[in-house]
Amino acid sequence: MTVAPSTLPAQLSAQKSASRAPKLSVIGVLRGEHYKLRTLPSPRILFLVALALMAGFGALYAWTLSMTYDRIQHAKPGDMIPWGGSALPPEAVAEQLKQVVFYPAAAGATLGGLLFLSAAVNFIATEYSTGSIQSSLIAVPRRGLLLLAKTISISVVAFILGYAGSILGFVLGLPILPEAIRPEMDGGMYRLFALVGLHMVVLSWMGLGLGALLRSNVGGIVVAVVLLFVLPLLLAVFSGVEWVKDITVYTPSNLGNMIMTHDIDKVSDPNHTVRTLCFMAWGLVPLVAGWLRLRLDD
Amino acid sequence: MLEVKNLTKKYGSKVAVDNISFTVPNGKVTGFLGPNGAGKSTTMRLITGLEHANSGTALVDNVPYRTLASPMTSVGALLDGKSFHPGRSAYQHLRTLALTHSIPVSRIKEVLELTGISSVANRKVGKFSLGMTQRLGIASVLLGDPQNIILDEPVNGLDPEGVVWVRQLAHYLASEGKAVLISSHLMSEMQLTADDLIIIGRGRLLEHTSMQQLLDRVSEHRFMVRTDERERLQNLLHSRSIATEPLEHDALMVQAPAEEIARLALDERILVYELSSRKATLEDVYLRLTRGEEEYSSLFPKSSVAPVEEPSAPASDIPWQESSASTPAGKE
Repeated sequence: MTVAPSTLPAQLSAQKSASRAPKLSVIGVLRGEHYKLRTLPSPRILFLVALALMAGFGALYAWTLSMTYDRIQHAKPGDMIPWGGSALPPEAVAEQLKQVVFYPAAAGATLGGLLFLSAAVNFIATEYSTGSIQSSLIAVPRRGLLLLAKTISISVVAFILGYAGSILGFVLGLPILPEAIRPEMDGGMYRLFALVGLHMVVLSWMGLGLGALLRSNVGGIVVAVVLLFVLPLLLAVFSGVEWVKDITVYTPSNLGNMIMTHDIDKVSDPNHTVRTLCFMAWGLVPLVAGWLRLRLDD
Repeated sequence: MLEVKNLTKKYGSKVAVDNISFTVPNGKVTGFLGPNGAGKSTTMRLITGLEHANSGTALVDNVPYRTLASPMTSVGALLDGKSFHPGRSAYQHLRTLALTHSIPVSRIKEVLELTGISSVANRKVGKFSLGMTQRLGIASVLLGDPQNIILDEPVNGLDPEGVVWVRQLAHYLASEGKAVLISSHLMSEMQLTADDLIIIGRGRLLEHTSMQQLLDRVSEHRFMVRTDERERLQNLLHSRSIATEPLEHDALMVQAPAEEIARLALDERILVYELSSRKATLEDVYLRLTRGEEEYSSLFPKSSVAPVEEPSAPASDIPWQESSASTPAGKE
């Protein structure tokens, strides 16, 4: 296809639009990064799939709880009911069931979180693979500002979508749960939705940091998978060692699961605040490392 | 204005830019020439803050690029024709840049129309031809109406109309008082475009002068002479300490006034059937200056038309000349 003849320079001055003098601004950079996120196809697809996963797993989890409740109701004296990898008396399982009826809201958060993390990796690593990072750095030479804008942009999206995905999982699971054990929409539930949102935000930070550090979509996602899924398996092999058991609590997947709780006051050692801060560190450390690489190498 | 002072960049043991200094003034088009791997793109990347220099400074209007308050209105740079996300449209790409500086949408439409790609503004960049991506790159450069323009090989992939347009654009921008730095391998085009020249080779500055001064230096009294007694004429001219260079099968390039050449030929009854003035082209001068400075050389033989040499004659005939002057530059 032939393009139109270029306008001759003589017409350039006539076409200059009168406007305020343009200037680089924090708000402008934020808007630019948010526009980038909106116009990239891959993150949109990943976010949609994550929402679908959170909704689907919420319904699935509610269904398994419903099955367990039925077993309890039909248990004969002496029966043992499978629960958490072992078998417990019906009364004990009934007690446990009361603690977990809230968690269709968080059932899909782990897999959904991996997709949010992948979207975050893609958000920055694709700029390197396509070469568009050059345009970005010429327009916004302050590396810290650029990364901060990306962080804020994806954090807002991750929190909102994480919150919404959590509600979706809860709403889809609610009618599946037997009426006798359906949770109420109390303050704890709203806090749980927010904690799921926070979970997505921290994983997005991790993804953004790994993407900035490694500058590779595949590299960033592989490292994240190792940290989230392979590391706990490796530690489980050595779970007989006392100090290994202690540090297993602080893996990102364990911390992430533990902070998404309905009753934060019942969380013991380490307490919920400490767990939340440690989990946030798993996102902040790669982010800072990514910023340093961006600042020193580019 | 762009100012580079004692700029050096090394990648490990390789020196990509070696202590170069130059100024790109406002109101002029400055051509930036050099063989492949000479350090042109690295220098441009250093100016735009995309690389860290090992030493020296590169300033835009007296400040380092990274500290500019409004980079897009200070510098418009086209360094790589492929610095776009293929999944975005041309309009979307420009919008992502415009938002950072609160540049209005109307300006986006202006530069799209100016560069002739408004009809494909909503097409994904991944489907653009090379020429179209170059035009989008130029549109990005013009978006902020910058004071300093840096264009690395802007005519790559452009049709002849586009090449002429870039030349006119460069002249217009310079006439508006902007500083324009262009690198290109199209010597004929650069000769028509640039006011000043910077030539580098292997990271070092080889020449920094005006286009006219450079061409005048080697153009004075250059004539092509055709005769069917070339060897006899050549010996005659050498005996008069006049430098010659054989061309084609029956011609000589002679550095002497036309009248003197004609009179000498007439006196010896040598038939001359062409005596025409030959101005040195930028390509001639560039090839001479950069001979031996190429980073990458092909194995194929060079063109049979030798580049212009400095005036010289066999040393034995001119005992009073310096010995270095008797050896043409670059010849073994």
